[in-house]
Amino acid sequence: MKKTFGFYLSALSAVLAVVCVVLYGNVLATASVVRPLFIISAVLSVIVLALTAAKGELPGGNLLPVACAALCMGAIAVSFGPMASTVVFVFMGMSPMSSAQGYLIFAGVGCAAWLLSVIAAFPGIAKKTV
Amino acid sequence: MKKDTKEGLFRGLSAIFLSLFILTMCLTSVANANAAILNRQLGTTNYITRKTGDSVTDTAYFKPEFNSVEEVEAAKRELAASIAAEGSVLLKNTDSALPLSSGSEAVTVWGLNSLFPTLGGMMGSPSNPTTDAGQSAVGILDALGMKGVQINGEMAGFYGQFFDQVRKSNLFGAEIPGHSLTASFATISEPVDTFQVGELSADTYTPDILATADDTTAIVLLTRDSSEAADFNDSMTDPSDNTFERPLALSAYERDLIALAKEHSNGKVIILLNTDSVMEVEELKQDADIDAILWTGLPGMYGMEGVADVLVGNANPSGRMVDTYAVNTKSAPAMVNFGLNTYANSSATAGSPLTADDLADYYYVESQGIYIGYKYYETRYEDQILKQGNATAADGSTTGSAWNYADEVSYPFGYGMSYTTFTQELESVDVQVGGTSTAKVKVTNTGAVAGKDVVELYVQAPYTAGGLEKSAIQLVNFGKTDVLEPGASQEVTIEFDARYFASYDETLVKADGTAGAWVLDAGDYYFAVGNGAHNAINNVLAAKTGSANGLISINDDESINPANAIRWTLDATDSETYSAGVQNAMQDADLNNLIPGAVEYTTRTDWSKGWTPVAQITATEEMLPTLKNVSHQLKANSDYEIVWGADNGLTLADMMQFDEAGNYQGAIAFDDPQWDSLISEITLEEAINFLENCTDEFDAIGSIGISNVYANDGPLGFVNDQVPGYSAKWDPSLSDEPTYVGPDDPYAKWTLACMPTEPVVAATYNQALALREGQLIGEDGLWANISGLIGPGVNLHTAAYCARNHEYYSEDAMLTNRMAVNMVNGLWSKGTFGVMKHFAINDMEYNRSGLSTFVTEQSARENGLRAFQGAASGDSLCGIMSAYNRVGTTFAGGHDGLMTQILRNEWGFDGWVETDYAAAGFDYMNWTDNIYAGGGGLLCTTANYSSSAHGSMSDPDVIENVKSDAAFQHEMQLALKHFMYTFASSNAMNGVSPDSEIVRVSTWWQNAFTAANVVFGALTVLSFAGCVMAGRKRENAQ
Repeated sequence: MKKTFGFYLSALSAVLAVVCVVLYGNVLATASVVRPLFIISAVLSVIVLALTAAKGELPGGNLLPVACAALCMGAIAVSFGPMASTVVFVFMGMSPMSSAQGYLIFAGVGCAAWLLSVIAAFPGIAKKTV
Repeated sequence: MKKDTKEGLFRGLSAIFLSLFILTMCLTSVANANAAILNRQLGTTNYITRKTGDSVTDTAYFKPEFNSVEEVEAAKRELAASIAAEGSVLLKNTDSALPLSSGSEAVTVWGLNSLFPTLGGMMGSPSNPTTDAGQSAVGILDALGMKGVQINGEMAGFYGQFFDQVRKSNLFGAEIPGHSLTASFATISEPVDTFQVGELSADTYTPDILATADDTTAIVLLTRDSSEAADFNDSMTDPSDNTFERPLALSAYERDLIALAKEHSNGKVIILLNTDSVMEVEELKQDADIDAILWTGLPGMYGMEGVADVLVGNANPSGRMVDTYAVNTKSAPAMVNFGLNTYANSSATAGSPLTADDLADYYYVESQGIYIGYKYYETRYEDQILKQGNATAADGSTTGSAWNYADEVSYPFGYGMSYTTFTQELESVDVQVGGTSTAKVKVTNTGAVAGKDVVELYVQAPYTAGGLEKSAIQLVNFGKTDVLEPGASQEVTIEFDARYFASYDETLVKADGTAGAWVLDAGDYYFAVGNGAHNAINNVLAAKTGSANGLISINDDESINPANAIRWTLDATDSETYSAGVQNAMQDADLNNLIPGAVEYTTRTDWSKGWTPVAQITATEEMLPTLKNVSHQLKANSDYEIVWGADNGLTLADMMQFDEAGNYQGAIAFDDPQWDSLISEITLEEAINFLENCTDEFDAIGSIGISNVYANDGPLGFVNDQVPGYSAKWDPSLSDEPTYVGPDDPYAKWTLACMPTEPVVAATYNQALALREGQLIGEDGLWANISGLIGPGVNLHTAAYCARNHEYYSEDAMLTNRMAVNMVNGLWSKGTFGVMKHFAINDMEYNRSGLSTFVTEQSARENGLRAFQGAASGDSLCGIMSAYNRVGTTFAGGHDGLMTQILRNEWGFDGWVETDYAAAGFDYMNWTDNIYAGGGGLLCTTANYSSSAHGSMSDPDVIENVKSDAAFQHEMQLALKHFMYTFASSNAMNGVSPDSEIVRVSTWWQNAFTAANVVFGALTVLSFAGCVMAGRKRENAQ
């Protein structure tokens, strides 16, 4: 078994997911399901990556980035609902950037986690060596 | 391609498509939750009404007065100009400087701000035309040109070179000239530190351009703009090198501008005060080189035409001041605590029980008590003249020495001049306690020009030192003459209600054991007329003392006449007539009841009190629960028998009444048991959705056959950001409606909001004009398919630094009360319900969201609440929007005493109530407290989803708690009944009959979302399948 580039990207995505869990505390209006989605993504990544590192390619293990991408996107999309009006007000100039700043940073990191997972999905996390 | 590469490709695509699928699913959910907003912007609808029978043939219950939008627009424009003309207040006119000699008198209009005078406010009351649809506003230069005035075009052209220096503010992403203030929804911890006056420095003017003004009459336009969600403060500075002592005082550049105008003119200098905020103009009044001062207020899109009519003499000014113009705006006791005040244990303090999410850090203590505006200045004046108490103490004096009325007031409340002269004779006063009282006043035009005159009726109630606080003079009602030709007379009859000059005694315990009553003390009452409150009290003082000696006149044209004050004696104190069902309901709003001795209120017994700002207060244990937004909690009970989803075969159309000829007669009585049968048909889910999502498009309730109902801002008419034109709310399925406006109509995109602001309407002192304004905005409702106007603004101008005063009529409760009654009645005549706002004591905009406002109950009832009382307790149906602030420490909408005891129990208000816009994170406006207290629906989009403290009513675990609380469900049903009662009496029923059915339809954007979901879902499945197949092939190959 050979770890692919995607293995490391997935690990990085998991780290960013954890960062998102922390950053979500700075968001003005929150949805309860967002943190659990990132936590599931991070925990799933840690388990699958650890088992892969220890035991080699797992059945379906290469679908980890797909699952993480879906979880990250779900979390980001759900988080937008409560903040939608605030974000719109900021861009209309009616609320200061500070009211949406926490959310925008969180969403930016979340998008980075999602993007890493999407990229990781192409090579997968491990490749059988013949 | 290698098989593992293929597998990777499909896997990557799966990640992308699955993500997109999830994204579009979530966006679909957000979009549907905000469907009202999207429908508004996109001109779509989710509901259509279908007729299934012919029981009622003519379903246009509220018929239009006009045949086309073109006619409506013409009528609105004419009315706006009339209001602005009658609302212009002439304050000074030396040697008949005005009117101008039309056609022969060349004028130079001075001031960069003359390019873009302030016509309306920012946010809820803008006056911005849809220029790309051919609509345009009328500025002062346009208006003067239309009236044939020769204008110095070179000066106008000169100003045109400085467009980059014109003050501009941001509204919904667009830069709006004519404004400096910017609305902010966010909590601010520091006062906004900039305010751009918008004028040029004197050295900008070149000798050549100044020379063009020589030998012309100078018209100098001075302006201060207004905005929702903004206030003035003393730390403001102009971002240019301009300076001012206070933002409402003249700036250095304005003084320079006036000096240039004096130097480069024919010697005649006229000042236009283009502001709804009280400016400090004593130096202009005293300046012998300034010939005339005309207050124009913010006259709306077309009102400058009316102002120009006054300037050229087409109209004779008959407006009167709606506020006291103090020499120094800071001299009012209401200003003592105005500004940012933070609890000592605010969320920024380590270990504080409060959090930023509570939105509870700020407060405003209205330590002025009942003495708002003229009630302070004129009361202290009487005490000064009669040498009662210590009125002449230096405390509160702007000179630093003994307080003297003449040093404090430039122009009194109610004052205004004319191009002619009038005499008024108060002929009789007939007081009927518990009934309708009348006063008769004979008005004679003693001058040489035709004109209208205002009759202002005031009263002085008997005051005992140390007794109930009482204003020495208060307006009870007013009227206006017709146009009187020179020498002509007219008898004006003023009706008034004694309830509106009763005093509220919080300490009186009634026979039923409850405390609080309306009291008419035994003694002498003086009814007086006069040109303003000061003239009226001078008439009273002359009548009481038998002499006018020693009285202070601050305007040369004042005529003191003791005969214009009539004494009426009440033999015994009456505390019963107006006290049925009344009891104290706002004791928790008096800070001294929460923290004894915290506030030193303004009082007649000692005028030295009330000038020290309240020391920073610490929220006590008693205050914390409501500051932390827990006033009510759901609890299981079976106090009421609640039925949802019953099948009684009724629709809202069945609540309509028709006479024998089939003519619509409004809704059945509110207490008719049929209402309970109807409301019980609504399902709990429908009720939750309706009350939790009261946006400006009320959701349809299919089970009772009511389609979506629109209600939109604002105080000047329907604003463009919510109603982008007459056609915006019409669906093509309604094209057979008589007032349908399609997208191809030339007025389809026109901005409807064009009227002058509330202070200008009030300054007319013409109740018929307010009624007509309501009728024409109601007519707009018919042509734009809207059933409710979120307006008028009915708060008071409590403090001059509140930058939202332009949405409210006046500093006086009764002037506001009468204007609101007429406006609401006018709207209702077209089936459009007014929604008076903001209930109540929304007197400061800084941190209005969650602001604790402390006020005595006497002050609230005799001032801020009295302003709402007329329309809320009258025959006309309307809605009420609760305020953003807290009453004491409890959110206004969640305050039982305000929303239920006073509004419902004492006033008998049958209309509906909703909150102001509840943005994300506004947990203090939560549905639990709001509905429990009688606050009705929640005007929100996403806040209910994000309420960390309460969740959404529709959350599975929450709804179970709702179902177990019968008392709460009873309040829900009561709130729905108030809504439906109003709807059934409105133009929302046009096109609806008992045969109608409401059909829900999907909009094109909803169909697009559905298509995207299907496409991305299918692509996800396909890419997964490809991935799996490629994987199998790879494994087989291996």
